Amino acid sequence: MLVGATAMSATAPVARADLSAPQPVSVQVVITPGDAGDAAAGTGAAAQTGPVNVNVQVVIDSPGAVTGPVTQTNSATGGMVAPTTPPTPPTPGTPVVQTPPTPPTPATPPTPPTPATFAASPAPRTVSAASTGGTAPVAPAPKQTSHAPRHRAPHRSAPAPAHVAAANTTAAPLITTASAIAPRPATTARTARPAAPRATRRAPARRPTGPPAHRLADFTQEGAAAGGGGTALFLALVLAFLLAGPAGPGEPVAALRQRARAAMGRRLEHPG
Amino acid sequence: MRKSILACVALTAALVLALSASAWADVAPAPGSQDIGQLATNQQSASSTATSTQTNPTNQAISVNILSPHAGTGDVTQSNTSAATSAAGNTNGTTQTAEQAGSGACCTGTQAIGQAASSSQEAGSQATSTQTNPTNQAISVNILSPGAGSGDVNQTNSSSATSSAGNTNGTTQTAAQAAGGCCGGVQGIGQEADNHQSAASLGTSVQTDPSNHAISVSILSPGAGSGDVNQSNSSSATSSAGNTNGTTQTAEQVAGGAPWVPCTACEPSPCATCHPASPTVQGIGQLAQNYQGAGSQATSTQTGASNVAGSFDLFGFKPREDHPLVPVMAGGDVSQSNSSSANSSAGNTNGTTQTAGQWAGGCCGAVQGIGQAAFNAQHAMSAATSTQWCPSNLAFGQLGALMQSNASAALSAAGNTNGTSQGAAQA
Repeated sequence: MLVGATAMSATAPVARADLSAPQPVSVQVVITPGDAGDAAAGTGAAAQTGPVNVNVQVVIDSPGAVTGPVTQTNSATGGMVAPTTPPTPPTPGTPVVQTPPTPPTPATPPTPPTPATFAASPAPRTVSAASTGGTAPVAPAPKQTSHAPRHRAPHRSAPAPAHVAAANTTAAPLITTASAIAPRPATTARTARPAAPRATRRAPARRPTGPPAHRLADFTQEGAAAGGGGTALFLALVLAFLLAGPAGPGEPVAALRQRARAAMGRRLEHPG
Repeated sequence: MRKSILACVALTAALVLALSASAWADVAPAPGSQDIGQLATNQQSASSTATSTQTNPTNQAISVNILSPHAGTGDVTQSNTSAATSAAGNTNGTTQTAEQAGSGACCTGTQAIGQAASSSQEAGSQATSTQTNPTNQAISVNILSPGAGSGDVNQTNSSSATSSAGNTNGTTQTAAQAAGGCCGGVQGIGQEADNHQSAASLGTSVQTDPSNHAISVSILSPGAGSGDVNQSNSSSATSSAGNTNGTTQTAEQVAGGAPWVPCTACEPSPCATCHPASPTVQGIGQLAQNYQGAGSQATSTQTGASNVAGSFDLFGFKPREDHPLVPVMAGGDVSQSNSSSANSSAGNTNGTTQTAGQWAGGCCGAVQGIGQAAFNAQHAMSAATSTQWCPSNLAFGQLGALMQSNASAALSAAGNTNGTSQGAAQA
C-alpha cells in the first residue's frame, strides 16, 4: 500500500499583492492501496484482486496552474509457453500435387420472381447509435396505402407504443376530472353519452414514435408525454369555465358558452 | 488396388526386415551381403495453461479547480488489463540416410536397407482471462475558474485470452544401393514413416461489467472545457491449433552392368560363375502414414459493458464568435466502444513425397518391383463464440463529435491441406 500526500505552496500570483489573501494551495494525493499495478502469481497464472489507483488533484486559487498527465494501469498477465522449441527440422521438398480438373460450373438457377411490393411500403430506417448520437431512433410512420389521405382511421387503429399510450392514459382522466368538478344540470333531453365512444374519438392522434434507445431518449420522451398532459389539463379547465358555473361576466362569456355548447353538439341555450 | 499396394509393401518390408534382421541380431552377415537398418522413434507431448483473473480493478482520477482561472489538467490515461497467453508446441525432425555400394565382383551379393521413422506429438494449450468489474473514473470539476481546461481522457478495460497449440514434424528418408557384377544379387529397400499429431487449443475471455466514466463539471466557469474522451471495453479470445508434417522418402537401386563391371569382363560365361546364377532382383517399398487432428475453440463473453461520458456547464455560458446564441462546447469529441470478439482457427498440413528408382544392367536379366503407399487422415475442428450482453454507451451534455459502437464478432476457420507425390522409375 502506498499512500502519499504532497502539499505544495506556490508563490502568490503577481496580480494579488494583498498579503492577507489566502495562499494558493495545490494538493495532489496519490493513493494506491492493495496490490501493485502488476502482479503475477504461480506459473502461468496471474491473479489480481481489487487493485485501486486513485489520483486526486485539487487546485485552489492558483490561476494558470497546470498539472501533469495521469496514467493509471492495472494489469494481470498470465502466460506460459512450452519449453524451448527444438531446432527446426529440414524442410522437406514441396510435393508436387496435381490439381484435379475443375468440375463444370453448375448452371445458375433462374432467379425467382421478385414478390410484389407495395409502392408505399417504406424501407425501414436504420439508425445506428453512432449516427444518432444519443437521440432516439424514430420508427417509420405508418403509411396509408389504400385509404384516402384524409381518412384518419389507420392512425387511430395503429397500435401506439407503450410510452405514448401511457401518456394518453394520463391525459384522459384529467379531462374527466374537470367535467366532474363542474357538472352540468341534468336535463331530460340531454342524455349522457357513453364514455367509450368519446374515448375512442380521443384515441391517440399523435404520431407514434419508436421505442427509446437508451435512458437519455427515454428521459426525453417522458418529458414530451408530460407536456401533452398539461395541454389537456388546460383545455379541460377552459371547458369547465365555459360550460358550467355561475354566469359569466357579461355577454361575451355567454356567447362563448353558446359556441362551446354548439361545438359539443348539444342544444343551444338561450342567453340570460 | 489398395490391397495390392499393401501386399507389395508388406512383402517388400518383410523382405527387408528378414534381410536386415541378422544385422540387428548382431549376427555376422553372410559374405557378399550388406544390411542396414534404421529406426527412429519420436514421442512428444506439450501442454500449457495460462490463467489471468482480475477482479475489481479501479482507476480514479479526480481533478478539482477552484478559483483558478485558466488552470489546466493533463491527460488522463486509465486502463485495466487482464491477459492470458498460452502456447504449446512440438517440433521434430528426423533424417535417415543409408547407402550401400557394390564390391565390383562379377557376382552380386545381397543388399538390404530398412528405414522406419515414427513420430507422435501431442500439444494442448488453454488460456483463460477473467475480468470482473473493472472501473475507470475520470472526474474534472471547475468552479469559478474561467478558461480552465482538462486534457484528453483515455479509458480502457480489456480482457484477452490467446492460446495456440501446434506440432511440426519432418521426416526425410534416403536410401541408395549400388551393386556391380553381371548376374545375381538381391537389393531391397523398405521405408516407413508414421506421423501422429494432435493439437488442441482453447481460449476463453470473460469480461463482466466493465465501466468507464468520464464526467466534467464546470460551474461559473465560462470557457472551461474538457478534452476528447475515448472509452473502450473489449473482450477478445483467440485460439489456434495446427499441425504440419512433411515426409520425404527417396530410394534408388542400381545393379549390374556398366559402369561398375561390364559384362565383357566376366566372359566367356559370366552367369555360370555366379551362385546363384539368377537374374538381379530389386525391390523397393515405401509407406508413409499421416494422422493429424487439430481442434480449436475460442469463446468471448462480455456482459454489461458501459461507457458514460458527460459534460455539465452550469452558469458558464460562453457564446461562439460566429453564433452569439450558440454556446461554446465545453466538452471535446467522444468515442465509445464495446467490443467482443472470438477468433478460432484449426488446420493441418501434410506433404508426402515418395521417389523410387531402379536401374538394373548385367547379363542375366532383372526382376524389379516398387511399391509406394501413402495414407493421410486429417481432422480439423474450430469453433468461435462471441456473446455480448447489454452493452451501453451514454453521452450527454455539451460535447463535440460523438462516435459510439457495440460490436460482437466471431470468426472461425478450419481446414486441411495435403499433398502427395509419388514417383517411380525402372530401367
